[in-house]
Amino acid sequence: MEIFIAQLINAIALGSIYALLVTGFNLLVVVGGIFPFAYSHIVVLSMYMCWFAMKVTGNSLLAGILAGVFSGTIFSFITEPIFRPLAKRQAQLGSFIVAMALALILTEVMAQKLNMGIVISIPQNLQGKEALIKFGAATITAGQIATILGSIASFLGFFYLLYRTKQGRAFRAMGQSPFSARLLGIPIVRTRIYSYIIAGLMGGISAIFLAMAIGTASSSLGDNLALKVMAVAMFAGVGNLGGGLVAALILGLAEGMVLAYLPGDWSQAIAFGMIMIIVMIRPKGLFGTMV
Amino acid sequence: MAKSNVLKVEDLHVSYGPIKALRGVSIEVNEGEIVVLIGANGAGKTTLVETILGITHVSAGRIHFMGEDITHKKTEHIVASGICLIPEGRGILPLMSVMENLLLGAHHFKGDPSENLKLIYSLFPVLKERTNQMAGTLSGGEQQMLSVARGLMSAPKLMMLDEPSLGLAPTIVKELFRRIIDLNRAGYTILLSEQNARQALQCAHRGYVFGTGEIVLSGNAQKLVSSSKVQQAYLGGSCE
Amino acid sequence: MSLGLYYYLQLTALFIMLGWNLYWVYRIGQLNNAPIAIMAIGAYLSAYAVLKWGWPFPLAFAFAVICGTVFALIPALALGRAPAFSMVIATIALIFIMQTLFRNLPWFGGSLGLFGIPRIKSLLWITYGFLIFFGIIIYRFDHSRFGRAADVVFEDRDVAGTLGVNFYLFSVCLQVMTGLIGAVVGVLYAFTIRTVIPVYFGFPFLLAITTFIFVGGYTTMWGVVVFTPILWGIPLILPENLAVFRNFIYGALLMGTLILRSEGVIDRRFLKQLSMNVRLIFKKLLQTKEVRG
Repeated sequence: MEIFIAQLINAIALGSIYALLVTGFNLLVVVGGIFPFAYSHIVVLSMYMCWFAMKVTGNSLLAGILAGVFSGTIFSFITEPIFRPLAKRQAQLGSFIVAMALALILTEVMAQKLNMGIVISIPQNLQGKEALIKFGAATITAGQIATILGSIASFLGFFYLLYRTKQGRAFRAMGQSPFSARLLGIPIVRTRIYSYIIAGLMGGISAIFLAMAIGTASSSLGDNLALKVMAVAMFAGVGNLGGGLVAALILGLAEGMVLAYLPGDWSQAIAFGMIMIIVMIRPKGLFGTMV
Repeated sequence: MAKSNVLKVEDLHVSYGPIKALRGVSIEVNEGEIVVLIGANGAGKTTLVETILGITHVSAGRIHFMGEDITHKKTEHIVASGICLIPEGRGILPLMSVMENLLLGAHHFKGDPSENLKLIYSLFPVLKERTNQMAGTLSGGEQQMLSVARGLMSAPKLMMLDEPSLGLAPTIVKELFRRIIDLNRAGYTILLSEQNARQALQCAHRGYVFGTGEIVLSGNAQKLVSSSKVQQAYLGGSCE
Repeated sequence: MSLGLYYYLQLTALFIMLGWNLYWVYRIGQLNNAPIAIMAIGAYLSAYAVLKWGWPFPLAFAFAVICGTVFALIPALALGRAPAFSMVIATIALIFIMQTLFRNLPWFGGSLGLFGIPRIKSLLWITYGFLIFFGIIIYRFDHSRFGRAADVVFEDRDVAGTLGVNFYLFSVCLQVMTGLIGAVVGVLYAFTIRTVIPVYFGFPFLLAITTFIFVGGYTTMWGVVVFTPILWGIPLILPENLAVFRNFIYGALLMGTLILRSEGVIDRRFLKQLSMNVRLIFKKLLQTKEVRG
């Protein structure tokens, strides 16, 4: 029984990470106006930056965390000009293909240039594997607690921004009707840039939690994550923030439980299978789409 | 009494690809006036107001607002300098509450928007009642009110309304035009584009008549109403 | 002929056919990546039949192509009505699933795959025979009422519906056709390279083909024909240290094209101008001939 609870906690932690990723993803869809296939790859790149920072500072926890979070934010910000002409033309399929190309480039960079393509291993002190709570044969690690609490805090912050601030209103207005937003004098390009920054920030935070949860990163992680994030987004309906959250938790739970009993490759196949089935049955996603 | 010029459009040419939407249009709006644009659907009225707001690209000609040349400026700057457009079809955000729609109207307003909110609520008590309701659930007339109120939130120096009577019941339309006159008396300068020519001209100071991208007639609104040309072409029979 | 040239000619032809697959279904606005998954099926099944069952090549060929085409029906029927996005993502997922399947099922050699596939004489002729055959079919399609219908569908699916185009049927047919071509390509690919590994049929490959189409031009079939040999060939002759950047270059070219010249290099206007210029030159040549003769 305790083992089950421990695995449940693990699954929730995993689900929280997916939820963060999906939220950033959806933000880019709704406000950025693109299909950010490369978002997960930027997150993995941030994991590499975190690892690198810890390497050069003798495993400093602070350096790693700052590097990861800042990398995510900055890399996302840098990609905005690339997508700007496509977002302007509302060429979503085009933006998807460009994102695919970007994802491939990032994967190649990680596969060939960073750490000479060898899988990176996150230092122990960031992984947070020390058990904080023990009950019976099961343990809950510091990493898991940090992930769950950190995710909750991030979400609270994000939804506060979205529903209680001027900028958040501007985001939602742009998401619902870019034309009306324009008429209101909301600066379209600048608001998009902000959405990239926020999404990047969430991505950077996810990178840290991922580093804790998985402990390693490789160039193939980007594609792996991207597909899962898309599975969740499509499952809930692309652009649907609330639905995405729920669906992410479901995926996290499913994957966490599956991983406990089946080899790793199958969790990927399940995610892909999920996408295919959802897309075939309800192309608009389970909860409908805002896009 | 010399009124100061608020808006001056000079010889404006606008094209959508190969189609010329506006050909040499010139209009003027002075402080405290209600100026009306009338004409058939597709004659260019919407194109004109959208171009003034910077949404459509200008091929030739100039637009001056409060003495400043805004011809090629971005929409966000134009709105910030004090022009607001209440678009055809209301343009409210249906998934957001009445209050949030109003707050969005004050996006560029420097200062505390709550004063404006108080004023709006006193002018439109219905909106105060429904302040937390989702805008999409309001009736057509209420949505129009919300749209106008939202425009007011930015304390605009020029209000442009594009076909506000569209889709509204006749009694509501009467009420709408009464409100427009009230707003004007309160000091707002208004540029109104309407298919409902008679009622629009009756409440306005001056009018411009549009026909396929050009101004075909202009002048004092009362004279236009009684002009036989206008009556034949635009005021029709008892359908109005 | 040298081995290098043989590979180049073979693979160019195969990639052109794959490019045509993606081009063909994209004519109706759907970006369908399934042919690459079907290609994997074609490759693995034909290799397996020859290696483990000892079947002769033609039999294995037919077997693999039939299986692939039948399999192609599944996503075709399910995705026929899907909006463009859903199709792209679902078919990418299909590619990954196929890779995972072939990597994990016990009969296909896991990550090492199948190797030692025998040589087939005149494979080059067979390949180019198919290339010309399919090329003619697609050309005829483009210049028929189906091609014109596809143009309307590309602009607006629903408008086309009001004009009597049955989108679902159209989509399913095209998907099955491209599935068939994909399976054929898969078989020929397996017998060209003579090894089949899961890694061949993955994401970087998809991106390469996507690059060939979108850089070449997705509004005509000739974009693929002209640009595949160029984009595939140049990295082959570059020195080793530059060739490694191949995927970078593909990615950069793809991004650049979509941002700057979204229809690709060879678009319909280009072709029109080209054909006008060619006719002009012909005219001038005939005139000089008359003067001389």
